[in-house]
Amino acid sequence: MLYAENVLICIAVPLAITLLFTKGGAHRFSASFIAGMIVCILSAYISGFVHVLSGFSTEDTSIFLSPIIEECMKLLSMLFYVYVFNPSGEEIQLCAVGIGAGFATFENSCFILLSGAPQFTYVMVRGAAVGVMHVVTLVALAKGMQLLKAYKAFSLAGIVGVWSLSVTVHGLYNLLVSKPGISSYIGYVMPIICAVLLYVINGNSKIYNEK
Amino acid sequence: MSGLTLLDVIATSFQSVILVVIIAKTIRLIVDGKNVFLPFFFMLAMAGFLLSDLYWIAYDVLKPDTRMPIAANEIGECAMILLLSAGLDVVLKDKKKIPGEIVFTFLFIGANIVLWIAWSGEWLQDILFGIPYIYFFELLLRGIRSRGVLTWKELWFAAVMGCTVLVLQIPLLFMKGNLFEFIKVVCFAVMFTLMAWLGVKSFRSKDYFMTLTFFLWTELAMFLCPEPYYHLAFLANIIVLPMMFTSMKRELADALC
Repeated sequence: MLYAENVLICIAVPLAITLLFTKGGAHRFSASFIAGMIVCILSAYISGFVHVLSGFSTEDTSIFLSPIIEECMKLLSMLFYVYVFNPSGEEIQLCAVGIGAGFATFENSCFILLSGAPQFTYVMVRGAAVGVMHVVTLVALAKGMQLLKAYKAFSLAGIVGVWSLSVTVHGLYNLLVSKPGISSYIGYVMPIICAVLLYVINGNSKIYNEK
Repeated sequence: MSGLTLLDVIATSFQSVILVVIIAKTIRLIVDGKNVFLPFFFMLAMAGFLLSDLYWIAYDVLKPDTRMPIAANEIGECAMILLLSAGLDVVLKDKKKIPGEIVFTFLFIGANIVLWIAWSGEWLQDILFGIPYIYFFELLLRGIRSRGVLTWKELWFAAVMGCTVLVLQIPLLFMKGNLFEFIKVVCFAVMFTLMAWLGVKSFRSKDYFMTLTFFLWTELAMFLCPEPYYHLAFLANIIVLPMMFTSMKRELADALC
């Protein structure tokens, strides 16, 4: 039995205190990080509820339902930030990275508390695959939102379209790692490849903007 | 893995290769071009389609001959339709919405959704994933009308043919015997005649809206077809992809002129 709320309080309180002493980007990042952890615990509650309601097996829930629920919760937090604070493109990305990192950190903390961390391979998979995947899908979502804003096409169709892309990436990852063997190795490498691709796109778009 | 699933994997892999080439060419267009808006949305849409294909292949390989509890790959297709629509919405200069067109798109795609539900029983999923098609079809219809790609006569012809296919699909759900076989042949003959006609029109006009309409019909036909008609519609769906890229490039050239 894991008391996830207690873990959340334990990690979030020091971070919340840092908000009193930071400004600008650091302040935003800390706030987004805490938001990411809250989004993670809420997603877990909803996934558990939908799992019982749908009658799906645990495996089917994690492959088919969790990506939709988790990405939906991340999108809602991003939309809240975008519509309430009307941030610039750079700030959208900062917030996305914070939420993604907070989500991944809290999820990893809970898994490691449950299963322990004696195996280095397991810890690496959790950190470098699942953890990176949560950051990657959110950065992709933020990048899409930034570009939609830049092209004045910040419509429902555009936002849901970009969100659907993140859900599919997340769903594909969960599907690939659900079976041991080559498919799982492809799955584990996928987030890192996506991260590198996004890094290149990010660099190119900065050069393009400067031009 | 059954022969049919294997055929499906091969066909989807082939489509994925075509999509990778198209995405690469579109990225090149973005890097070289001045107007990156349309290629950017097109590239994202094709990426969604590619992800959907990869999901399909991965599922068929990992869990062969089983039905997905939720067709998660449809989210990728949904992304494609929505992103194509987001691009079209900005390209489309005529913002005037005609109530008759909106009603027709609702009824036409609505009837398709009803047929999908009757076939699969996944009502919530079919309704949710059907909604983007309504928006997409409405934009296409508005674009074709306002740009004068098809005459009113041709529009009526396409509408009548499309509706005939949907009406003929109804008895196929519960009929058996010789009459079933007869209606099936007539239904798919009308469906593929319309597909061929849309293909010729798209090829001749090279209009972006027309080509996307052809693409939409191949998609809808795939959802309504059993084997072996399904693979025929799939083939048309693959053929239309380079045509979409060409028409997008032409649209871009027209916008820059």
